[in-house]
Amino acid sequence: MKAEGPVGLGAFLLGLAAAFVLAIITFGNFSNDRFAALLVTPVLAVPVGGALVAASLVMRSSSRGRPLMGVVRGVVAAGLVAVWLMARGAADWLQAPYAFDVYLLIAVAGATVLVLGVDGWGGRWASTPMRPPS
Amino acid sequence: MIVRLASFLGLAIVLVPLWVMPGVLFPHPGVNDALELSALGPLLYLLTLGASLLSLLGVGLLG
Repeated sequence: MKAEGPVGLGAFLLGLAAAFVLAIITFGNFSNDRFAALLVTPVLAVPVGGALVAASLVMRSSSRGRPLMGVVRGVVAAGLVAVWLMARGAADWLQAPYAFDVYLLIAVAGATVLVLGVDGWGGRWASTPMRPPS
Repeated sequence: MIVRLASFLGLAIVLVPLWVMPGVLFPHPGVNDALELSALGPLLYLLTLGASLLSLLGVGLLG
């Protein structure tokens, strides 16, 4: 298992924080308590994402894999969440299912970024061409 | 290549129901319908953050 997955996950969480800040600016409203989750989500995502990126990058180089590829995957996944958030808008936060679909998407996207960074999926094995039998 | 293609296809199969789910489950949502979901979402998010931190442990042990 390489650090490519966790570094991608860290980049995803940092991008997620940016997406939620964008959502606060676009349709957030501090006079309604139901928007509180919109504020708490990036506050939790930044320290965890920063810790994941920092810890992954200080690991020995043989365990890192391709960190830049992980970062690209994380940023793309965060972009998807940002587009989803903007498309749903304020209605998704104020009415059922209260952005439950957004948090499900975050779980699915995070798991995908992590799995693609693991050897055998998007990692070493997937990019290594197969040799013909000799 | 096939693995990547299958994973992207799988992702699309997950994303489409996720997009239509709110409209199907709550076609005419009221302000106080299914309030329990407003707590379940952030709870799921906390689980995701916890699992993210555990992935570092996985890299440390298996890497």
